[in-house]
Amino acid sequence: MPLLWMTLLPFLGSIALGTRYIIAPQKKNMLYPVLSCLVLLVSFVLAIGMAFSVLGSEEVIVFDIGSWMSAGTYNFRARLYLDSLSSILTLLVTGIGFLVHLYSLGYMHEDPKVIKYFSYLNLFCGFMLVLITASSLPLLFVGWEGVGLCSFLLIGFWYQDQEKSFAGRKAFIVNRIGDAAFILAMALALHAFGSLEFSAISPIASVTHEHFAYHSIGNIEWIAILLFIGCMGKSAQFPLYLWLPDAMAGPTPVSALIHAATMVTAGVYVLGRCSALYASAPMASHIVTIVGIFTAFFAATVAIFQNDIKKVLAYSTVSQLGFMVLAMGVGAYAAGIFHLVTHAYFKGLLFLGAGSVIHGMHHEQDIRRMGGLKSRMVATTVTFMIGYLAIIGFPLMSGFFSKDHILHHVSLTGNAWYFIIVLLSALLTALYMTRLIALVFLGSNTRISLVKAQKIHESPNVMLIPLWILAFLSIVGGWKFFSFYPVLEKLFPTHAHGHALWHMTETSVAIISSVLVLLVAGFSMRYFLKAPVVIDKTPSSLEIAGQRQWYVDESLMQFGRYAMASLSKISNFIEKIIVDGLIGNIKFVVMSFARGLSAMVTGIPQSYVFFLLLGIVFIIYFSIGM
Amino acid sequence: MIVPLDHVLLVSFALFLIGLVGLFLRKDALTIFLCVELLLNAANVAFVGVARSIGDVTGHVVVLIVIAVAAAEAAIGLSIVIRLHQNKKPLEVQKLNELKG
Repeated sequence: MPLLWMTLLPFLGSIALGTRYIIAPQKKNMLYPVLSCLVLLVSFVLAIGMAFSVLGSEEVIVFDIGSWMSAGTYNFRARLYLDSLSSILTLLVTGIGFLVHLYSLGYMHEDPKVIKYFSYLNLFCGFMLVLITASSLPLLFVGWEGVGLCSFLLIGFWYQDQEKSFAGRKAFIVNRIGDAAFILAMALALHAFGSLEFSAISPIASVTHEHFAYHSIGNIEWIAILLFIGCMGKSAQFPLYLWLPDAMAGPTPVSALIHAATMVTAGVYVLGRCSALYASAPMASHIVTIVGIFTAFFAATVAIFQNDIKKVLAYSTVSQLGFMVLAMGVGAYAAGIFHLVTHAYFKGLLFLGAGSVIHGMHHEQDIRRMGGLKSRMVATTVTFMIGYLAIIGFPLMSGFFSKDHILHHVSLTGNAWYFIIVLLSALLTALYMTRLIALVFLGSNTRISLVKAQKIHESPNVMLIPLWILAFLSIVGGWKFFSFYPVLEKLFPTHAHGHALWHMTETSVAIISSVLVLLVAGFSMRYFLKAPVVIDKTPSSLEIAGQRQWYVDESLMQFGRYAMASLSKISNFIEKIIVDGLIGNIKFVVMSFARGLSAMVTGIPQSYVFFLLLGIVFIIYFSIGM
Repeated sequence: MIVPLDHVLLVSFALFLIGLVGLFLRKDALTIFLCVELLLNAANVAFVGVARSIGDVTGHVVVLIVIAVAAAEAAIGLSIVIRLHQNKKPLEVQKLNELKG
């Protein structure tokens, strides 16, 4: 029962606020947003309560909502299901969701549509909880689409700005590609396993194949690949990541909650949930690894060149999602989910910190127009620095542990290229994050006019409290007492195979990577603090290419246009030649038939009489002859 | 004296043949019209003859109907011919081919 209430409460909150907004959209009342915060707090408390009995034990909590669809022998039951994995994520979603709600109270309180905003935010949390606690793929898909909808609504929240509403639309459309693959995967899985419950999908695929010999391995590979394409859309993997940078058009707390901490990690969650499937699909896992590694590296290279504080963090998110996905690919499911959790802490923190900066700078987002904020926004600077240390993997911060686990597992694959590229991506992370904080917080503030500098103010406490809490979690998230890693390790027993690359132990990987990271961070700090930043300088061609994400977006759009044009050419050919040809020929047949008939109409009565007689003779002949 | 059926049918056939030949060979509308009347009356003769020989009154009834219909047909047909003449149209049917397809 607490499971149902935890999931249901955000929905109820959303309905209540939505109704209030529809009845009186003009009247602002801050009581309602506070109510929606409380709803999330209650959900969080319920999640903690259930986590005590579920976390780390074999026990699961199941709530049967009832029969949903039944067709023939298939009977889908809608069930909520809470095991260790979903328990961790419910804690994350309700916890960070609550903090973001709290933060939004400060960030959005000037907005006239604040009640609508909180209604959407509650709706998002509700759908996210459905996604996490679903016991089967179809119910997960309900949450999956629901969070997609909320993402669309919240990206385009300021829809009067056309660019922002286009960004929302783009997120929706790009996700459609992945969702189509997801549905195909479900159809194939239903065909192969006869059920879409996770419990049914996992063991059959992983248990010995002799019982299920009729399920060809290829089929399982295809299910895994299609499912992964679905995850690519949601978790912004190359090339379906296009929507995530544009999604930064939404309010910053939304970027923190949806586009950094929770929704975009749904794809990683699905990979973890179906880990048994992937464990028996080596081909698909290989694809997952390659896509993850490429995304991690590619997005990191783009992030270096971005000048918008939120865009830097967005590409950083894409890159970190690549880390999680590649961890799932190499079979380090526990490490991948662990990185999901720590990433939610520090990326949520960084986004909320960026929001605090934007709030304090009166909606300035260009990092070249910032600088020296450390003296004006002390709390934001300190918390942001903690998030920075966590994301680059400073020793003993939360990100250090999770990234180290991933690196270790990559080295276990024995593929040197993989290891080097992943390590390079981690170093690039240090590079672009150092550039960000050097330009925004440290250094001089000579780039800001004095009048403007006077107006910079620290954010109110309601925004700072979530920052401090997340900062605390970003520090301790990897420590033994706070870490979920032991639970996850129990959940996903790793099959140790092969030798580590160059016989490295986990400790030596950690030492090598953190020494390199510190070197890169130190040198880039020196460089960016000294390098003059000129706003109106014409950028070099390399910088332009980087800012435009190496032209990937444009070329994909061009490709889409080209594909569309070719498709319409083919359709045009079919239309012109086959359809028109057929219809033209039918016309010709009818016309020639009619011409033959009209030849009989001579206009001479005698010929009519002749045909009449002929007819009579035929009739008589046949009626006698028969 | 009873005329045998064969003779009656022979007369009927002769009439029909004359009518048919006239229908095909003549050109002016009035003669063709008369030939059609010949055809009808050939049929009438055959009807009466057969009806008499088998002693059934239905044949006589049909003949009466045919005569009535022929009278109506004659009225319409003749009026068409007269109108054609009044409009200075030729009465040769080969030239009245405005409905040619």
